[in-house]
Amino acid sequence: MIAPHGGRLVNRTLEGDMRGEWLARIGGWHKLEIDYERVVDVENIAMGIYSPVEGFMCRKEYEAVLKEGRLTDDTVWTIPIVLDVDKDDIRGDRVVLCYKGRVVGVMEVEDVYRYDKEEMAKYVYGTTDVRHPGVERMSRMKEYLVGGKVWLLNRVETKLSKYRLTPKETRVLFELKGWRTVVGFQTRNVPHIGHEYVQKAALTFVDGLFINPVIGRKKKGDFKDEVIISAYEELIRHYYPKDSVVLVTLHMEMRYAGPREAIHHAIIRKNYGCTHIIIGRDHAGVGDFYPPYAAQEVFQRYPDIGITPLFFKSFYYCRKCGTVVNERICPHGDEYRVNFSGTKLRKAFQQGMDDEVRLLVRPEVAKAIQKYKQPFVE
Amino acid sequence: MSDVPEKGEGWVRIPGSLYKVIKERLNELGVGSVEEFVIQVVRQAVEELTHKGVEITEDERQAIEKRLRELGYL
Repeated sequence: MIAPHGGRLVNRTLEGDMRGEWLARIGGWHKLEIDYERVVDVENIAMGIYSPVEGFMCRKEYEAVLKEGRLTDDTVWTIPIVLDVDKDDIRGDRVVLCYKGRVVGVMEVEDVYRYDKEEMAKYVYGTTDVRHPGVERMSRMKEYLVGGKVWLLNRVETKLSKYRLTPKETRVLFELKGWRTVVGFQTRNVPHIGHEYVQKAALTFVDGLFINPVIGRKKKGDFKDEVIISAYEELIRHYYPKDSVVLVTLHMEMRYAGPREAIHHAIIRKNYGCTHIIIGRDHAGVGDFYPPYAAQEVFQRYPDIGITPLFFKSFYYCRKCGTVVNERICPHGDEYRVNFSGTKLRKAFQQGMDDEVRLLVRPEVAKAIQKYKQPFVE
Repeated sequence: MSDVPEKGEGWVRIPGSLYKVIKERLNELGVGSVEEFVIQVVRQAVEELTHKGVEITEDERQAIEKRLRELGYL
């Protein structure tokens, strides 16, 4: 089984007697209310999804990640895992992290520091343009960051929690299925036939496919989480060989950081036990902020990442070939192409399917989406 | 690389002949300098060196297997 990133799987979940002891001690400690996106960061740290990261980043770690794309011990890491606070939010060296008043975990405070939002935006997103959803979100962050290791005491359950596994669980799952090689597929969309084609092309060369949709805050117009899950369940039920695919959710906000986020996604899948990851066109991109294949090229800078990326060109349906192809395997011109445009699909689900869209989406998947009156994030 | 020292700790010598071979093949190797190539290779070696499995006790494994069956994964 592939090693976790940084060589060890982090576990910072307090259970049993230890959890009871901590819960009894925290009564008098200062409480800090955090939003759901930071809750899932705490959970992801504790469950080992962000291994080897053990907490929110202190200044040195934050700067190394920003400027070098690595942790201070040289391990590849491209997205700062940070908790923003107001100056007066932190009192004492231990803080209880709460969500809607309920205890989530504890943070051992090591560092409180100011940071430069513009600098962070430039490094992480490659732009300071507030039309970028990640930059816009960052512009609303508080002025200080607090760093320190965290412990998880209570997970926040959601209606999709049953699809959420820890890396330890996925590793046992892969082992029990007899998968030695596993390819991870990151998605934030309902599946069209182009996705299916990419997944099956990759699956031809490995033992198992790990479909891992990102669940959490997305931008307006994206498909809702429950719609993505229903659509994938239908696709798997009708079009995939039994025991060659698993569907597990990743609870994390989308940052739309393009190349940097592609590396982040790869690290996470490595921690789950994937040996390979699919990186397609404009992975984790938004609008035209990144060149179409920047998220593939960035892997050249991190040859020691420890997971093998599988790069795919953009797919389309070719009327002449009568199947899904890409420009490397199809000689026909634009006049035969039907592109998998997200905008086209969204419009089809709002206004009705036409014959062209029927070429792009499996009928069972379309039906699963059409069950929802409003399938999009508003 | 901003954190590479001029000399002292972290400064490494390689044979001149090896340096020359790498320098002549920078394009082919897809790197901009000998230093960049050496760092890449060493990093890959270190990544393999720190390759460790995940320790899972038998009790833990059984509990995980039970949960996976309940969730329909097995």
